[in-house]
Amino acid sequence: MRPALLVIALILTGCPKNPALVRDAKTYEAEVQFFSMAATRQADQLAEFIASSCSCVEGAWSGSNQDLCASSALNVQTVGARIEWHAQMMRYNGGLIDERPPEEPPAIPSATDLCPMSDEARIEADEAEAEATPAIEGEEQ
Amino acid sequence: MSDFSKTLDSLVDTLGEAGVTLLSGQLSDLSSQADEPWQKLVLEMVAQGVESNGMDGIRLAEDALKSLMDNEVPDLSFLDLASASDVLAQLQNAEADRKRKAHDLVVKVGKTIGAILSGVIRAAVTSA
Repeated sequence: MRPALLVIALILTGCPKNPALVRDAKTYEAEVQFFSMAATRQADQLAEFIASSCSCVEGAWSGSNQDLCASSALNVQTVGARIEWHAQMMRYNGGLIDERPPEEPPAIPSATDLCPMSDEARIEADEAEAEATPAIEGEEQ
Repeated sequence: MSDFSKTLDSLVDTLGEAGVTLLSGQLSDLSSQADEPWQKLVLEMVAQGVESNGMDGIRLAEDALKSLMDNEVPDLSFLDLASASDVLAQLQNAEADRKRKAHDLVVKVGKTIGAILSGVIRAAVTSA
């Protein structure tokens, strides 16, 4: 019976061009978690950098480091939207979980959604908000 | 092609009108052979390659696409993280599809073998 089983196994597995790797499941899971954590922590720090050092005028990056701000924002948005999906796909394809993640990965929000307002724009927005807020009764007199 | 026209417009400076027309034609041809996500991906890769490396970027995109077609590991370092994520998602989905097909085949074969074995056992019990 054993040779027959071997033949069946060979038929089922075939001779793939990219052979599957056999990995220790716990080490593999630890690696997935580590790389997810590394990406997420870096993205958190990039988000702090954007908030403290970048500014936008009318939805566009401005200032001397606008290119760095734009690419940092794209990285933050990509990691935020996708890292968990990619990690789950790694787990599924690696046989660590049985449930396949949705086929469509989450959409990546626009990088300019992270645009911090410039000081001038912030003052203008505050003024506009103040004007739009109805005066409280009694304060008008 | 309307979805891609915006990206194509951004390539006019580097490729020129003639280059974009040629690329647009190539992508139209490709659309008959590839599904929408792959077509979008090809354009994304070409656009980013050109954006970051000028005309050499077309070669980078071509090399990456050839690697993908040959089932080899593509060099995606010329792409931004969002586009690299799109390509990786396609690769991961392709592997998951193969895994699902392999699993379905194993289940089918397992059922068939089970049916054969139970028939053999039944026959053996009956004849005993």
